[in-house]
Amino acid sequence: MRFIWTIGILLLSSALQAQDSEDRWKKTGSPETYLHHIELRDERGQIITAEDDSTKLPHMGETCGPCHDMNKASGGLHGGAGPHGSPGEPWFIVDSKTATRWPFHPRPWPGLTTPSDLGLDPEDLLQNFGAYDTGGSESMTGQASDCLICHLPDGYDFHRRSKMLDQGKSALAAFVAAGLFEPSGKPVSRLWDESGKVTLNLKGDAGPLACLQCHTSKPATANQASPHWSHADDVHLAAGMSCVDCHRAGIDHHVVRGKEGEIHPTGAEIKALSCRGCHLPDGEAVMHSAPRPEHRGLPPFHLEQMSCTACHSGPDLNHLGEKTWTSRAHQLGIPKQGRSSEDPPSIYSGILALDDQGRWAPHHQGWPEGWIQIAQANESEAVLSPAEMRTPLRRILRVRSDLLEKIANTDDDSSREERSTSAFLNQANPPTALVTGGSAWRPAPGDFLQAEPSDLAQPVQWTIGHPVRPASMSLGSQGCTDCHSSTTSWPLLMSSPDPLIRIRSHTDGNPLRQEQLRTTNVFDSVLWDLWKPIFPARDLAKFYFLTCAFLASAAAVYRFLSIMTGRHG
Amino acid sequence: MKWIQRALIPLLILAMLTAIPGIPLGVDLRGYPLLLHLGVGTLLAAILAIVMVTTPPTGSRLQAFAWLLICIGLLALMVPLMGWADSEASHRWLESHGWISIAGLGLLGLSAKQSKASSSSEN
Repeated sequence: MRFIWTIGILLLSSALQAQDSEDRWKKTGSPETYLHHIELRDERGQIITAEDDSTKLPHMGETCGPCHDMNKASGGLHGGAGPHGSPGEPWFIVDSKTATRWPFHPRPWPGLTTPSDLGLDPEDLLQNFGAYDTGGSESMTGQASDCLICHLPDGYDFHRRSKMLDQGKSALAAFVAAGLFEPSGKPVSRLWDESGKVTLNLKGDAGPLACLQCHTSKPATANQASPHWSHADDVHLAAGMSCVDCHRAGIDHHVVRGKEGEIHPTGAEIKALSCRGCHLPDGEAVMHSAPRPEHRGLPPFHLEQMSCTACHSGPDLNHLGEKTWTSRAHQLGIPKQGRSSEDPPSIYSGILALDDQGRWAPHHQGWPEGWIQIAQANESEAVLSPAEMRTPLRRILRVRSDLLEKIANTDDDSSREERSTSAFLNQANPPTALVTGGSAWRPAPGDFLQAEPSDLAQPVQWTIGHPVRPASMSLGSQGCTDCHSSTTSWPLLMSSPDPLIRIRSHTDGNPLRQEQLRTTNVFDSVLWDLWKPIFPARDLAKFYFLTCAFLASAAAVYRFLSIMTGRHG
Repeated sequence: MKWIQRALIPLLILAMLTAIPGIPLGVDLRGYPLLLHLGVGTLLAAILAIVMVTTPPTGSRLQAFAWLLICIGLLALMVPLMGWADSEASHRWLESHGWISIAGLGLLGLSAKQSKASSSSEN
């Protein structure tokens, strides 16, 4: 009996503690933004004053901790924790010394290499990718959460943050970017008021630009010579919505990804937070103004077998399959001279492939480029990290800064790139191949390179969600021939990048790429070609069938009535 | 004219055979079977209209009803084809087209069996 009492008391006290810990956090309960008039604290929780010197560095957890549950806030999907879910955008390591442009991600998504496979430690990751990682308990770069980058809509200097990370000052980066501290660590004293507090206009939803800092993609071909008039606001943003209206999260930062069939880590009901869930709900409408599309004349299997984004998202018809820049892969937001569409890595947009729900959906597609160890008797093929390749490349080819520059063809020698690579591969130990252009290239007699298929040379792809186009700009808005015509190749589109180096055999047509094109596509190209000529005559077919149907039906009714009434011969 | 009449029943059967992959409920006919079905259907629609309009009304009540169903089946196809229904409703119209046509073909077979039985009993 005493045992039961003990268990009961323990359960009651833990329930009360849990209640206490939930109640501990302050909430205004109002939709109005709470103006943060707060003290900044160092890692020991001591208040930093305007007069303090640079030895007292601010600490995000201690500063926000008195009012917010920082343990929860530092986790969540956005902090690298939680279930892996369907593949998202990978990171790309770009290393000019070894001509490596390799996609990877800490989450074990199919076809992706992990940071450790590429020999990247948290310090490398922080240096190369820290600017675009908001930090968190499971953050790839190991840095603490930067709350301000997402929640301070005005005055956060992304470039300053990046520079601070380059200098290895990750703890100070957020506060310098917010303008609260000098890069030296000294407080910007004019921002402190008489009570020793600073005022920050922090917002739960800081607006789309806060998200777009790291989650933008735009055509790489946009330049002055050929303007690409892309006022490509997402239709939802144009309607006044914000990213977090659908990609919601609580303090736990388990941001809803908005994918169909997604299961939220908290078990929350999020069915309505996907395209179909909001616009084609099973029952009553979810959002007051979400248009419910009718898709008149569209054969229903299109809705069953294609994602909504296949027609409503991704680049428009004239820019399908073009190179794309993404914030994270091309470091958008950081000023750089000489940006070009040729900047690595090569990412192509609007490639149709099956998503994790088995539906055709537009994808971004990126190709790995770099070095792999060829499969041996007891070892499978494996990626060779830039760190592993630098020494042999320096020793054999004397590469010090940029491999492609070092071995570039000249006017007198149009095969230097291929010969140099072949010579290097002949001497490399372990046996090595260059992955580029969708193949693994090995040395062949006569200083040539020959292509071989490799799983590691396959492209990585991730679905395109935004920007979403309105119905009037979607595929099919001009009729079936938007897709079903002899001039549209979109559904059969497959990116096929040129190799990093000019390879003589490649110019004759690389059969591997043709084979890849034929087999990796989601469509039966023969069937597709058979359908093509039918659609331009669709209006004629409508007239034909309508005439036949009405004539036959009218005559059948007459015949039936005649026979029923016995008035026939 | 007779060859047209003779072609009608084989074409109807062929149309039904090419539609078999779309018979399971909730499954739409598509791909190569749909292409074949459309090819057969294009010819069948014209022949059906010609036969219905040009031949005098004869036969049993069941037979007349069967032909009426087949023609209504064709008419049901017009709704999704012309874009008169939204995508979800199109699905139901396409299924109606299939089941009404199959019912018509079935009744046609039944009427043929009945007329054969009655003619043999007369003999």
